[in-house]
Amino acid sequence: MYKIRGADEKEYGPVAAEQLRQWIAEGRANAQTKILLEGTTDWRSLSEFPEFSVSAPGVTPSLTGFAAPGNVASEQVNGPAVGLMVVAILGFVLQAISLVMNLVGASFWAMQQSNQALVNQPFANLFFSSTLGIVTGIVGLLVSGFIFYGALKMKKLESHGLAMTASILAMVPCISPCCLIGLPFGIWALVVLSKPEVKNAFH
Amino acid sequence: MLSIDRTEFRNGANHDAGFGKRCVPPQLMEGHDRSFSVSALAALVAGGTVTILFFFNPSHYPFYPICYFHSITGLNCPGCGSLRALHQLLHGHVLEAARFNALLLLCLPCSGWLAARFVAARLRRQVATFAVQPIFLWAFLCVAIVFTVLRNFHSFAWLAP
Repeated sequence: MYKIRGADEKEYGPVAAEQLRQWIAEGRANAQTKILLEGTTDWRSLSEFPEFSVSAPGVTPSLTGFAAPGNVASEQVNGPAVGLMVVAILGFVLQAISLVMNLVGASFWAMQQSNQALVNQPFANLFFSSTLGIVTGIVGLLVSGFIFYGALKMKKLESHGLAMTASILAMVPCISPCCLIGLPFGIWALVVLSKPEVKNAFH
Repeated sequence: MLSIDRTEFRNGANHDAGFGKRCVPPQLMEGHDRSFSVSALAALVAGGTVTILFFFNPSHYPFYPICYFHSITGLNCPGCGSLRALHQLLHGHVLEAARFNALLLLCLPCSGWLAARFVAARLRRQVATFAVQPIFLWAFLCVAIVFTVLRNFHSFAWLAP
């Protein structure tokens, strides 16, 4: 008999193997679904139960097969995850400085000194620009925070989707805190995350 | 450690008796619905950004994010000129856009194709992903490095924004 943790994080069962196979066929469980075998205390991924490896339709053998040892996957994601964290921290610091400068108006002073076209702009325009500058600064801080969070999840092998999103965001110019270093680390992260053994190791 | 107590288990038969409904796990598609909402929100934010970018030229308005690498070193990174290129592209000026950032212009069709593939998979309620073959990712990185180096040489000044 097996107990399963559904997509709503609630527990269901105990049910017989046949019932569980039916739930797999109905799309209620997949290779990543957590299973508790009656008489044991460890929740394990369905992919770790060979008796269900051919039950899940539309799931490739690589997904239903045994997961790679967690430490191997951890070693692979460690480098790009730390790299993404560095990108995020750097971005956070720079965005914070930019935000403070926008708040005190120093950026406008610098802009006016370097761009004569701005000197002739009406005050309303500058006020509008200042407000949007603060907004973009806050958005930048949030993006940096999100990339750090995604990298942390990647390092802990907790959320494949978040790790993918953080890697892509780190690469995109003007969204990334610094695309110059975000690009190589983002690509490295995407390459590692696309490996089946790493994908399976995520909880 | 988690202790197993049979009374905690939700037995299907018991729930059938209680409400006339089988207690079964929800279909995994429900998780996809949440992701769909996130995707819709992302599309909304992207739409707002495009609108701002269309009406406010990054060359004239200082509220856009600046490139810290360029500010500190004076050199151009692979992303320098992207916002100005997008602004020109939104106004249909393809050549001007290429002048600001040719790499971005080359990337847009690929990004568009990936996004279209993602949305199509979502609409068909299939597993959607932005995954690309690693060889293409490494090739893109090589192109980006060459592009970054070249656009900082005077001989290739036409690659700089």
